[in-house]
Amino acid sequence: MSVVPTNPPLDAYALVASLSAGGYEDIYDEVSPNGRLKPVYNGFMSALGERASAQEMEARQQALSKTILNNGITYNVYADAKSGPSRPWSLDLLPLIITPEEWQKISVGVEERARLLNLMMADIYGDQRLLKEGLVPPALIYGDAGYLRPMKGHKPPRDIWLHLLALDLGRSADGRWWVVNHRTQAPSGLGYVLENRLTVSRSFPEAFRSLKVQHIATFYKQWMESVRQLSEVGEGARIALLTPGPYNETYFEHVYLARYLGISLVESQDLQVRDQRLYIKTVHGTERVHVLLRRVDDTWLDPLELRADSQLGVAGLLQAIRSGHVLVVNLPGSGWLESPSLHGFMPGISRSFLGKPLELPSVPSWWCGEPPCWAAVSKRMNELVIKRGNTLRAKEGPISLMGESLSPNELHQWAAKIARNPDQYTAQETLPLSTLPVWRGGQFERRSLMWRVYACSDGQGGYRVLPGGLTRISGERTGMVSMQRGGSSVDTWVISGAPVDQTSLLRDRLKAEDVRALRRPVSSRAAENLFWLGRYSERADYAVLMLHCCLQRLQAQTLSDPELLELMVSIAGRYGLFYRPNPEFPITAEIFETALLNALNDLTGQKTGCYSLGYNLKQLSRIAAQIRDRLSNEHWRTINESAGLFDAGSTRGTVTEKLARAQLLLNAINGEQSDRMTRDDGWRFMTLGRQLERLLLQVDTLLCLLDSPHPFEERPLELIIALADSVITYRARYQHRFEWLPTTDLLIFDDDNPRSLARINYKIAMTLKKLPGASESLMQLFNDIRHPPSGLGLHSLQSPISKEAIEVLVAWLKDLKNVAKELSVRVGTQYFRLSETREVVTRAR
Amino acid sequence: MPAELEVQASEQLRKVEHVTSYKYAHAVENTYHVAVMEPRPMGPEQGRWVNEQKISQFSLEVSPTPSHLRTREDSFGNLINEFELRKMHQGLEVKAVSQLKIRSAAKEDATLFARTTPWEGVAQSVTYQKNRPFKKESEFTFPSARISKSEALHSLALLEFWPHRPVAQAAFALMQRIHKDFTYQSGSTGVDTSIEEVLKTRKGVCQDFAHILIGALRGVGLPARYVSGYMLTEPPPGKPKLIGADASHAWCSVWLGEEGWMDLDPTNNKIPDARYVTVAIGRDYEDVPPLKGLLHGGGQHRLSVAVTVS
Repeated sequence: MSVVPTNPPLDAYALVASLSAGGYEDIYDEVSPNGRLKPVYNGFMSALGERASAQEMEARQQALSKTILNNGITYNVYADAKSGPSRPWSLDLLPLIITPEEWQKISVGVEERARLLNLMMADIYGDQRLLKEGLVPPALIYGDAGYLRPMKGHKPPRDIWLHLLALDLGRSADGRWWVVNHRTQAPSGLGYVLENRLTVSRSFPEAFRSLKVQHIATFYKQWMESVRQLSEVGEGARIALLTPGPYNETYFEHVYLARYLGISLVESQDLQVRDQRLYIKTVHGTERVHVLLRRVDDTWLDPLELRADSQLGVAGLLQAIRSGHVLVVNLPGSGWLESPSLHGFMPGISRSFLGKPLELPSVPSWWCGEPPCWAAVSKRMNELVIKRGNTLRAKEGPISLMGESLSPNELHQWAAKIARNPDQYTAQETLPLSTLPVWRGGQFERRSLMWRVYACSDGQGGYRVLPGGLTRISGERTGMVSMQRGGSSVDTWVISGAPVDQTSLLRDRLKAEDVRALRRPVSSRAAENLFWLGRYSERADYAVLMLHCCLQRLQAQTLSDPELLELMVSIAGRYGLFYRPNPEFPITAEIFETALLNALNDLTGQKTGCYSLGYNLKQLSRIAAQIRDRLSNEHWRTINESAGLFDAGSTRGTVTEKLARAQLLLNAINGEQSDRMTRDDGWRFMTLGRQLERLLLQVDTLLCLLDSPHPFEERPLELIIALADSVITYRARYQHRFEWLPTTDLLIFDDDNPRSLARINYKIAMTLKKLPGASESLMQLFNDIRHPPSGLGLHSLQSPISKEAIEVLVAWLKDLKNVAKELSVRVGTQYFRLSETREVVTRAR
Repeated sequence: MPAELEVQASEQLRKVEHVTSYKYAHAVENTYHVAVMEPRPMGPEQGRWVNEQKISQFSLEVSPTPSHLRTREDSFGNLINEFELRKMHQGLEVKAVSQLKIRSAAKEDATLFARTTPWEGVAQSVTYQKNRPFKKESEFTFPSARISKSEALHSLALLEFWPHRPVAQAAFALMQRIHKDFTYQSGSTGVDTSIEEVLKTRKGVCQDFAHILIGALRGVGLPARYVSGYMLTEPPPGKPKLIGADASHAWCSVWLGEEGWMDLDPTNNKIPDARYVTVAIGRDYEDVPPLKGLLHGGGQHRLSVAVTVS
């Protein structure tokens, strides 16, 4: 591969020159097939003009990567989703450009195949001509886990089973496109398509305009319109997107699509089927869902009728579908259409169902279950790709083997394996995928590509094809194309012959009732997570302050005061910041410091048995991941950064700096939460969580103080005020040494200090009042205890300090603590209960 | 005995009471259950070695009264009753009562078995080949959720399926072999015990024996299905029959080609006669568990089942 000179403009000819290097004789290049630059790419390069230099390319590629990072576009790789962070989405600079003539043929072929696949679905769950006429072997239906018997006999509206489907296309050396895969259950990629378009069109605004690239937003709009139309209630349908959750590889996309389409993102616990209707559980009670876009694969959709061990589906969903009260997009039961074995039978099916051959053929394939086919295939396995589809046994899942990469011995072993179960295997002609240049380390290199094209039902039996799609490219020079195996993607530009359509997803002007209906309901699960987001944020705040105060005092070595040490030990113990196995055993400053650091570094809480800051921050990010769709990118990024702060462990030397960073990040999180989030019901639960946690911690601090041997001395008081983040206020206001009475004023009675009990209680009361539904009993519970009992005040607490007055204070603090705990439980049972219990499938003989 | 009398003796009236009760440790608010307890009608088209049955009455009583109750037919033609409870309850009782008229299948007859077609032809007729007519029974030749394909099952079948052996003779002999080689032991397996486990321990209950026989028959390419139902048991001599002493039962059915299906009960080493009641047919237990339910919470639950056939 030749290196492109860095200085002169990178014109079209240089691009071609960089690609004409040897080794690719039998491979089609998208930019310069046969060594001659395609006119569209010539147009693309000329649009860049003077600025098409190597430096410019480098700069654009870097800007692109940065955008992706900043927007938090990610792709989880299953293997490490639970431990490692999600990986940034990978996107390359040059788009795949498709000419109007080429698009004309492809879109006709894709539409035709989409229609045919839908007819096949309707047939197999209806009359089964496919079987009766021998168009498909029974093994491909009855032997495929994707054929779902509970759907047999169902008649969806207008016989539309597939509302959205995708085809993976590959191009052979002669320039023809072939269908490699059908994606019919829950095709992924539509969110990434939008992101890629947004990012790449910004990288090349000149070329994007001058080439008249077709816009893609209309497709999404039409897709939503057609599913609305097909639902039981039509235009007013409530649509939700069902995700398997944050650990799914394409979770980012689920969040992104839900936001873009303006629909609710839900997980299985948010949903319930009652009397054949689907409901979402919200803090207002349950609300109907009429259309469910699902990103959960078929067999996981209903634990009652499908996989009993599924935690991703909804019990009774299939019956709700059959009754027609909910439209699931796509309908379950199309897994068999994704089988590689089907491709060999597509020509025959097309002739029978459409009366003509397919415009866009499948890669030539032979099903090994037919003895003559297997006999022919077994002789040339080394030239073919061997594939296996869905079998009923999980351990024998889909595979794809390149015959040419197997040793003679391996080929022999596979042949024996296939001969034992020929039904499960199919052989395909090896398709030398076409290539596209990608910018790597200052030069262009060629990579294989596969293009995923999407089609959505028009609601009338026909399909609309998205002018564009997701083009994935291989990680290595050529070979397998897979995002899971380290591949990348590029944008796909379909050039328009006519003026481009300017649609964006905004609907016609909204009416008052639309505006109300469009407000997202707050699901019980989201509310619960927000409540805990609030609690953990606050707990982390206190932990940082406390650790900071303790370590500062311990490291200053001025700690000659054993009583102060005892107080710190007792508060840190209450906060869970360290663990003291034997309270009788005397604790020294050094032991204490080590224990604090050990606990801080214990991110799972399992080594030391306590849940310190590191653990808290991990919890915070775990909860945030559950409600990713409600958080801004900045909020999410800040939480994520803070969760990683203590990953590497911290020592006496580094801890101060890390705590300072944690404090900064937590302040930013706090700012996001108080200023930038929509003040809907969800936000109220978060605020309530925060304030309840603050109340509990503040009360604990005061109780520890009053329980200590010398609560009214200056040093303990200073610690308490520092813990309430109120030193500056104290100094400014009283300009005095730390004394008991002003401390009580500042931390208990003062309405203006955000950490005083009076202020916290006021905020809790206000929030309770605004909670949805009947929150009167909660308000009643809290109002009874909110204010100090009569007689308790600055007067009763001034010197000489009476034992009785302190006892009254302690009793009130304990009551407050109990009520705060009770409130937390009651809010849970009233608003989150629906999301709490797990379902259990039982079976009797 | 005159032939006419023998026919009459083989036709019997049966009544089955199947009571399932749940007791929960904590109250449960939501449950959703699917019952496969309503017997399906069986006609003569099934084959001479399958009972015919007509249903004269069926009732399903659920207590507490469910909020919703529906009946539907599944893809195998079984009758499914499903119900939801949407209020707090501490336990649940489901009582299914069926009354049927049963005409016994033909007797075991070695001469007739010997006249059936060689098994290879039957197996061949359900494999795919262009222009060979489709047989709907081929659905039962494939692995299913609980019965996967294995060498062990295949070898087991080959002990009786030697070349050109008449299909009914071979299948009957295989049932006898399984009856002899496996030990019936109540409670030795649970609803989730795998077929591999049973092959290893050689112990099980009716469901396991049925699975083994089905798997072996499929191993040689024959359609074989799972039958869920009941059997009338005789009390020990001189003792009265106890209410609830019976249990739900399961056996196997194999397709013989032109002769249709033949029921085989490996647990009792016989072709089911008029003492048997068929409820449902599936590929294996997973398709037709008598009662499947989904509970929200409830902690531990206790389940008891009582069946009385008369």
